[in-house]
Amino acid sequence: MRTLLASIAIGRDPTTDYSPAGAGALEDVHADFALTFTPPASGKVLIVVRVMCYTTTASREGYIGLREGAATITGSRVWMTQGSGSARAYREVWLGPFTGLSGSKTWKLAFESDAAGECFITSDADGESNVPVQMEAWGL
Amino acid sequence: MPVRGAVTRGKSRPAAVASPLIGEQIYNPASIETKTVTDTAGADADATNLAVSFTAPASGHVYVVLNGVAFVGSAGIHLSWNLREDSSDVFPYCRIFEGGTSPLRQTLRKHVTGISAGAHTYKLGLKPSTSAGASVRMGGDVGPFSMLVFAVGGAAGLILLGYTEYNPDPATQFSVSGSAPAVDINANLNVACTIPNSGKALVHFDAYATNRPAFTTRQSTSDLYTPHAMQLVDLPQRVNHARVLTGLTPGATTLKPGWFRASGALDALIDCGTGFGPASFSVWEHEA
Repeated sequence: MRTLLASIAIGRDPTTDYSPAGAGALEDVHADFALTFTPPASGKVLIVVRVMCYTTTASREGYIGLREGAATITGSRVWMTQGSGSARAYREVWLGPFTGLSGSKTWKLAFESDAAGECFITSDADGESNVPVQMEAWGL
Repeated sequence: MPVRGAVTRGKSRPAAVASPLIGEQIYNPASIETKTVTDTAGADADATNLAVSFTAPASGHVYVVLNGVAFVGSAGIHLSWNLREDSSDVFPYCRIFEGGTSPLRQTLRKHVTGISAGAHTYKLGLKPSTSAGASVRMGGDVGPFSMLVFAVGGAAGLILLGYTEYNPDPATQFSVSGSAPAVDINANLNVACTIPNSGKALVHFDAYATNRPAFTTRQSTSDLYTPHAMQLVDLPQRVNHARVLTGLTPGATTLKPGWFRASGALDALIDCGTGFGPASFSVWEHEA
């Protein structure tokens, strides 16, 4: 949290709920939800993601991760949410630190559900319920 | 091809020098593990694997981030986290959430000051409100439980412009019933600081909140950005607000957290102090 390599804070108007088209695999959420950065000489980077995610069915589970192209960044896929209602809250997750990095990177936010159409990431820019998707890349 | 990652298993290690990150434990076993504490006085979750080692910076001040999945043994009880060194609490337990038995990913961000010189190992402490127990879960599909220790100050440490932790005894409660515009939360959370010439800062606001607050950062009577809704349910839980700020006017100022009720019929609440842990507001400089 000293050397900020890249960050986004994006809310949509009107409210948009993103859901994976399929089940059981990470999919890109939206082209705008991505960080492009150049790692520091140490090759070490920490990613912080804050999103509001939720499910519409109590037994469903949602995961987030990071993808570069079509490849999942090793160690980035984490469980985020289960159950309706109680999970509809902003969640912060610290991913990494990732090491051995070099060259320009574009890492995209990805989301996975165990059932298509039942897990969501919300982005909203309405004045009463502004819910940005936030991503930060910190050099270490 | 997958990018080389950072998954580690086993004992924590000090991070490389010349980085603000001076300790890290990213515990991510191959199969899901659950660590449960039923002692209502609190206890170590796993003194071996959920422990982070570091060498104290010269400032004696670190910023700790704990991130992982938590749940409780029965509906309606609450769960608290802290850090423990040997058999002592590094700081009092901070309430994380209260509610149903569905797991939730949670974060605790905490300043620790007055650390003596030398090596330290901090262990995750769990405290349930009843003997039904409180747990954390990690590994396998769940992903890691992360314990990160950042140095504050010094040539490589985080650059702290100002912070406050309001932790009264007995605990107190703040409430807000109105929607926009935002209002100040409480003067005890104001931070006097000097914005650097870069005009850049990062703010963190952490509190135990109930119902549906939306948070912003205020300067005098202005919101620096549209408040962020933190949750659209009425669950009591610790919330972690943050915003990267640019284009601030350099010089001395006071920044303060502000809020309104994002939605719903119930007042948005913050509980802080004994039994809940502090509400804290931190202003950091960031280089970019």
